[in-house]
Amino acid sequence: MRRALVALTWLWIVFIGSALAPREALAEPGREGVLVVGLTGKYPPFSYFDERGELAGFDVDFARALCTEMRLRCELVATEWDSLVAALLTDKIDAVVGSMAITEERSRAVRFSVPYYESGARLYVRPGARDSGTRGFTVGVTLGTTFERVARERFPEAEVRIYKGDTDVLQDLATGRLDGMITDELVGAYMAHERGAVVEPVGARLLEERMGIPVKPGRDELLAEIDRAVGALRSSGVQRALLEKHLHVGGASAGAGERPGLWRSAAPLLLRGLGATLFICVTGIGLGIALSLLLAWGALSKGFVARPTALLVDFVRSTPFMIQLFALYFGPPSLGLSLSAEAAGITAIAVHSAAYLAEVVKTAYRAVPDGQRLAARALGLSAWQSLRHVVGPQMLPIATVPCLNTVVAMIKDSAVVSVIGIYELTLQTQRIISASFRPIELYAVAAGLYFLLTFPLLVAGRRLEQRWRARGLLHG
Amino acid sequence: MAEPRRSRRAGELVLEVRALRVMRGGRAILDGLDLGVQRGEPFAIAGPSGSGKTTLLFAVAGLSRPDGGTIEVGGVSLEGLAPRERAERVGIVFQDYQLFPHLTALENACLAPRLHGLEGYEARVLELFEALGLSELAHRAPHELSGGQKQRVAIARTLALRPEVVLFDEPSAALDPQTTDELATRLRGLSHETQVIVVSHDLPFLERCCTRGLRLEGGRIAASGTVADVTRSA
Repeated sequence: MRRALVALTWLWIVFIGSALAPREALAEPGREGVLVVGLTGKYPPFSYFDERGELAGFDVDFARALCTEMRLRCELVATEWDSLVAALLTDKIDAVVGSMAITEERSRAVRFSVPYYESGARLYVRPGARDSGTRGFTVGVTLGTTFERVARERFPEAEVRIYKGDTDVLQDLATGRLDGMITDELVGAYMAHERGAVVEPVGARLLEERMGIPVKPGRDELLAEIDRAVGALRSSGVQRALLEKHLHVGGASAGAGERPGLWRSAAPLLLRGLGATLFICVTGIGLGIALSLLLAWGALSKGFVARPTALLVDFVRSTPFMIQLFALYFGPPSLGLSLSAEAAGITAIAVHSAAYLAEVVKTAYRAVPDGQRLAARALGLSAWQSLRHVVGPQMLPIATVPCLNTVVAMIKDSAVVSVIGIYELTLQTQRIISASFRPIELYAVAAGLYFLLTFPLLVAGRRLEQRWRARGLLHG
Repeated sequence: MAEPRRSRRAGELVLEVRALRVMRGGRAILDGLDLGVQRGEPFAIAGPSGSGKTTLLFAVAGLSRPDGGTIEVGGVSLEGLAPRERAERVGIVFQDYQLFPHLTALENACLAPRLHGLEGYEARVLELFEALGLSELAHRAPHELSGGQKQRVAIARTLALRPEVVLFDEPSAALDPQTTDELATRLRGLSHETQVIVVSHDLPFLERCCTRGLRLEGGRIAASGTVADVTRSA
């Protein structure tokens, strides 16, 4: 039994090691010779993950050309759209080449380069949609885009629904949940041409947009250098060529070419995602268990630490995991301390699981009758001996099943760390979907993989519970 | 059973409590209690509930800290003794036995002597199990034992440390009449081994197993002498 456990542990470590080895490195911004560029990877054809799971699109190619022009090494970081500006201001990235329109509002927070392309927003509707002027017309836009405001201003009767990215909007448009969407006209043309999306443009341009490359205020040298490089790429024709390649501007066709089968390209990515999920969960929850013992001890102690510890545990338990994650990722830089996405994700999981586990440990400790502690004392056992030989072994059956339930919940909640760009199972799944547009199969597979991780824990919990019940160590 | 660790002469003062004071919530439960127990037959401490019996018991067993006074066992003050040393002078058998549910009967009795590093404890525990009729039950879990069997395991567990005094808290409370009779005989038998002190409000039981004793009322000694004197005046 013990030998099998050791073998299993090694297998686990090897599996995690191999799964994590080829992970994308998150670069440190401001490093010599490197430009860390942020984009979403969810805005085809400007940025998306192709069938091989690589970042592709106009913004991606333009960012690479920009780096070459600036004689810098390019490192691309895919982050949710609504986190891009936060990432910029906390020095997680140097610049955003992410089709960000230059607006007055954004210019208050960041400094924009000269425009690197111009476009306009249009309304696209599906066949059989309600009229855009009528009440109940539903229109989808991406959170935090200029399209969101346009939608509210131009279609006051419409119900505006907010999404994380155009890929998600398209999905709901295809299933008929939405009547229309507002997006960039270059994107719309691409969708109709390349993806065979059944949408039609309606009416004229809703607004003219100029896309700039924002940097953190105060980085004037960097901004001047980006301005120069953008100018050079435009005048040399590189920008035009990239637009033609990706958006069929001027009639050129990108040519989809031979696409490998969905599963052949998706499987390694999903496994890599599974490995990353395993890694962050095992590490995070492992740390969480250690931390929970400390917290439980603090909360149970009669000293002055009891109250602050209990308050800390309650605070963590009553705030959303995602906000804790954002706080850990974006908060420390203002204190001069920077956590990588992985470190922030693991820390958030450790802290969050520790709070719940501490509560379980505390409850288990209190569930052991006081008489048992008295009996241990009467036999002359020290406090440590009493905990180690009398109280601890009785806490184990009480705590194990609730602990396993907490661990299972945490593994599922670990999907949330995808929002800060950790390529775990959920983000890998989403990035394959953004290229393949086959959400149903892929989400089903992802759910199956999560099930594979969590189900054995639930079964183990049930078995242990039965065994302990038979030994009279569990009641009720 | 095994021979006693120290020379134990009948008649010498084995337990001496002087000016014992225990406060609970600003009220004195025991206020300046004096008592002495001479080595010999089981000693009874009787009294209605709320009379301070359990408080006295816990103070003597070292499970609560008195607010004043001294407790000596075999002429040695319990104050300042390490937990292990105290447990080797005073043992207690709880009313609800408090066996450790995750250990077998034998493991229950071996745990403390093993952790204290007492030499030859296995042989000692096996002897005790033999004498208490527990040999067949040694590998049973506590939840597989009857109330009387649990009590005998608890006695073995306490005696394994060879204490000079063993306190029994309401030992007849959860037993049927036949087992109660056996227990009374057994407690008398233990007198060769250790000083038995029985704390109970079950007067007929005290009459069967003890010869001397005292009665507590309102934290004070209301009567003392032969057990007949103590119970008659109640």
